[in-house]
Amino acid sequence: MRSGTVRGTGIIWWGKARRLWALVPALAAFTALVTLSHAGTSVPLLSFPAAGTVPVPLLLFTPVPVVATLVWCLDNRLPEAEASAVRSTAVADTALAVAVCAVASGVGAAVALLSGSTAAVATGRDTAFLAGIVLCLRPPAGQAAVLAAPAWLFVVVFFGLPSAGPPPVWTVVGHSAAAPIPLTATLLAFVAGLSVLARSSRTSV
Amino acid sequence: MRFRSRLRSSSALWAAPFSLAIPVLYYLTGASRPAPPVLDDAAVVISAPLYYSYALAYAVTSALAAWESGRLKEWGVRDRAPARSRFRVAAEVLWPVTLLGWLVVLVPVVMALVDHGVRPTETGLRPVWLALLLCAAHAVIGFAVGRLLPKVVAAPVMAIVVWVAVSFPVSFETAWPRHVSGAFLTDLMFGEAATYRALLPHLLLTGSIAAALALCWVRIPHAVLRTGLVVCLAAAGTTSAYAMTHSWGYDPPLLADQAPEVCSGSAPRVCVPRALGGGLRPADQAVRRVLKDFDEAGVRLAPRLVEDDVTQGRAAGFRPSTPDTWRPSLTAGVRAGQPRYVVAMEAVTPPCARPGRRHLMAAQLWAARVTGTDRELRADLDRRRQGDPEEAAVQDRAEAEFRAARRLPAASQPEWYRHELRLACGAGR
Repeated sequence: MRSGTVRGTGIIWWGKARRLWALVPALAAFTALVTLSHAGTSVPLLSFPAAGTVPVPLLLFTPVPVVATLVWCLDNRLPEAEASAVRSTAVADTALAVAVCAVASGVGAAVALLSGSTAAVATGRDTAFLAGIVLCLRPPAGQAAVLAAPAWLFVVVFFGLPSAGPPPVWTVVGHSAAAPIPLTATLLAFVAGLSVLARSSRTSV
Repeated sequence: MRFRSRLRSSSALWAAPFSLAIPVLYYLTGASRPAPPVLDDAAVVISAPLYYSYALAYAVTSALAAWESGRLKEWGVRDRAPARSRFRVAAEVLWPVTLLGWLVVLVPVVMALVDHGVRPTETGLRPVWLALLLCAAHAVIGFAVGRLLPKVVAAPVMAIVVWVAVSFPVSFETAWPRHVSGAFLTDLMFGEAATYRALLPHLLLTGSIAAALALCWVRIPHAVLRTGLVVCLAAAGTTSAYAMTHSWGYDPPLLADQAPEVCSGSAPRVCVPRALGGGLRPADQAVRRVLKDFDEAGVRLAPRLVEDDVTQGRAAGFRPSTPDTWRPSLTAGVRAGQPRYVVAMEAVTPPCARPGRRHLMAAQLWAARVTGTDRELRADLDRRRQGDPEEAAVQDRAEAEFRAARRLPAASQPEWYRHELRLACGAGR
C-alpha cells in the first residue's frame, strides 16, 4: 500500500522533472502537420542524384519536432537526485521514448485510416528511426545529438532522392511503410537507441 | 573573448565540415557546375553554384544561431552581465555562425570562378551580396527563435523550417512568393544579370523581419511604443516586398547585354560577344556589304550600332531592331554561313513595333533580292509555310506584291520599299 503510493508519486515527480507537458504541443503540431501533408504536398528541394530539384514530400520532415521535444524532455533532469536515487529512472525514460514513437505511429495510422492514403503510415517508422539514431548519439555528442535528425534528412534529400522512383534502401526514411529492409533498420536503430538510453539514463548529459 | 577562442567555442566549428562538404561535393561532382557551353559570363558562372547554396546556407545559419542563442540563455549571460550591450553579446556569438553561412555561399562560387577562369563583375556578384546579407538576417531570426524555445527544439526545427520555406515558393503557381523567398532562383541566360530591383524584395521581407526582431532587444522604455515600432517595421517590409512583386511574372526584371563584347568600326559599330570569338571579322564584312548593297539600290541606311542579339537572354526578340540599332543573330549567322542574310533581314526596320506581316514580307523579299540573299530567305519561307495554310496565303500575297514592284522602274523601287514599310505599320495591315 505504502510502496504503491511512493511509486505513484515517483512517476508524477519524474513526469514533472522531465516536463512532459511539452510533448502535448509537440504531438499536436505533429498531428496537424501530418494531416496537412498526408495528401502528398511536396516541396522542391535540390537533390544530387537528380542534378536538380526533386519534389520531396513534406511528410518526411514531420518527425523532427517530435524527436526534438522527446530529447528535450529526456534532457530535463534533476541530476543530483537522480544520480543518488535508489530507483533508477531508466525504465520510465525508455518507456517514454517507446510511448512517444507509439503515439506518433498511431497518429500516422489514424490519419492514413481516415484519409484512405497510405503515405502517412510511414511517418511513425521515420519518427522511430530518427529517435533511434539521436538516442544512440547522445552519450558521445551530448545535446548536439538532436541535430542528427535534420542532418540525416539533409543527407537523404541531397544524396538519396532520385528524380523518379523509390529512394535507395540506405535512406531508411521516405520509404513506404511495408518496405522490409527500412523497417528492420528502424527496429535495430530504435532498439539500439533504447538500450543506450537505458544505460546512460543515470548519468547522461 | 579572443577571436580564436570565440571560434573554437562556437557550434559553427563542428557544423562546418558537414555544411561545407555538401556544396563542395555538389560542385566537384558536377551537379552545381555551370551548364555547358560555359562562356566567359561572370553572372552565369556565379549563378549556377549559387542556385544550390541559398537554402542550405540560410538553414545552417538559422539553426546554429538558434543553438548559440540557447547556449547564452542557459548560461544566463544576460542576467550575469546586464550592463553589457545585448547587441554586442549577440554579435559575438553570431559572427562565427554567419561566417559559416558565408562560406557555404562563397566556396562553390569561388570554385566556379577559378574553374572557368572568369573575373567576377559587379553585375554578376549582385546575387552573392544578397545571399551574404540574408545569411546575417537569418542568423538574427534564428537567434530570436532560440531565445523563445529551448535550443534542442529550436535548432532542428529552424533547420527544417528555413530550408523548406526558402525552397517552397518556386513551386507555387502564384509568382510573387518566389521573388521574396530570399533565394534568387532564376536561371540566368548568356548575357543576363540580376537587377537590384529584382533582389530588393528578397531583402525587404527577410531583412525587415530580422530588423524587427532585433529591435525587440533595444531598451525602449515603453512596451507599447516598442511593440508598435516592431510591428510597423515588419509590416512595412513585408507589404512593400509584396507591393513590388505582386504584378511580376515568373521572371523578375533582368539586365541584358551584360556579356563582354568585342567591337569593330564606327558608324556602324559592330559588336559580337567575346566568348563566341572569331565571328567579328565576317560579321563586320557582312554588315558593310549589306549597307553598300542597299546604298546601290537607292536606300540609304545609317545604323550606329549592330549588336548580336544572343546576349539578350530571354528578352531576345522582344526588343526589335530600330533604324539606329540593329540586333541580328550575328554569331549564329556566321556559324550557319549566312551572315549577310541575317543582317539584311534586320536591316528591314518598319517604323513600329508590330508591323503587318504581308507588307513586311514583301519588303524583306525586296531586301533579299537587293543584297543577293534570296536563296536563304526562300529556304526560310518554304520551311515556315509547311503545314501552315495561313502563312502560305500571306506569303503568296507578299510574293504578288513583290513581283509587281519588280516590274517598276529601278528608280522608283526605293520609294516603293519605303512606302511598303509605312504600309506595314499603317492602314494596310
